[in-house]
Amino acid sequence: MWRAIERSALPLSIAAIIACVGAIGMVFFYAPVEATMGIAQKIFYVHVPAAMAAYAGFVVCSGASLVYLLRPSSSLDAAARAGAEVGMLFCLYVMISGPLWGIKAWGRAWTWDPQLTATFVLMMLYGGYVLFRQLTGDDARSRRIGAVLAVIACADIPLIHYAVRNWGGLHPVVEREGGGGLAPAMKATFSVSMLAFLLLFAALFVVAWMQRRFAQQIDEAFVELEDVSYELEAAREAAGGTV
Amino acid sequence: MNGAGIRRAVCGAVVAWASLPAVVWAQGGATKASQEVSVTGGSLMLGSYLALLALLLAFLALIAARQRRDRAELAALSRRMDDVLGGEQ
Repeated sequence: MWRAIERSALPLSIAAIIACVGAIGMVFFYAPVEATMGIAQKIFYVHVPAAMAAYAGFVVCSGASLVYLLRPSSSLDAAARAGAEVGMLFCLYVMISGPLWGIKAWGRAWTWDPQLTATFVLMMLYGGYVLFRQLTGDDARSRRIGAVLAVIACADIPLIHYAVRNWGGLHPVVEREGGGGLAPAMKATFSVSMLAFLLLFAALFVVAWMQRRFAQQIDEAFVELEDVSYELEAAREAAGGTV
Repeated sequence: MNGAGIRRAVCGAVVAWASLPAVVWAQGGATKASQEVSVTGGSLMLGSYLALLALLLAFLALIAARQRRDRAELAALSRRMDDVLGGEQ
């Protein structure tokens, strides 16, 4: 399965580039300008898909971490780290594009609305995971602790999804559901943009995972080489002793 | 700047960006700013798309830096293999 994932890197990258170019073209040349918010509404076509891509990355991180706790494997650990890093990339963008859109939509860039607060907490949780793994090395104990953190952090994702329904707030629901109040051209553009971002996430995830896995394999090769070196040295000493 | 330095810089940037909304906008600084200065929707939209491009390029640069580090480690591994196994020939 991992070989198939590696071979998919180039086709995914090409598909992501084509989809992104198509989405950009539709955003600026096909989708109409929204009547109330004007051209700033076009941030919607990248903000919402970026949030979905961030969720995808964090779910991959937490899922791989859960399986790692049951069956430890370097590949799963690499997948968890790659998922978290790519998820953080898109989450950072959500936290940048959201306030930019909020300035126009709400007249203020930030508010401690339930959904925004939960998203901020999500960024802190997975940002903490990324920093923890980056700063504590790659030994088995750090991997296990990181995996537990990632599984716990996943609990925030459904909180974000249901925050608006259960606790109200400024953040709209219809745009998140992707179709309730959109014109047909906007809906089509949004769908293409969503596909582009998911392909982009998949391509970046595969590249990041391959790089992590390659680095792990080099480290494992170093360890094995030192073991071989030690055994050869011991054999030489034993042979030298019998002469 | 070596790979470790790049990684630390990126981590610092992540923390700084994460802190920005809480520190500035929670104090209503952006609200006052938006009341005093009218920001055009086009500027916001352009800034948003440029930010996306910048983040993607930064991530790709990070991956490239890691790959350069991996290539250097692979070369060191190859040299070590020559030392360990080449002595047996």
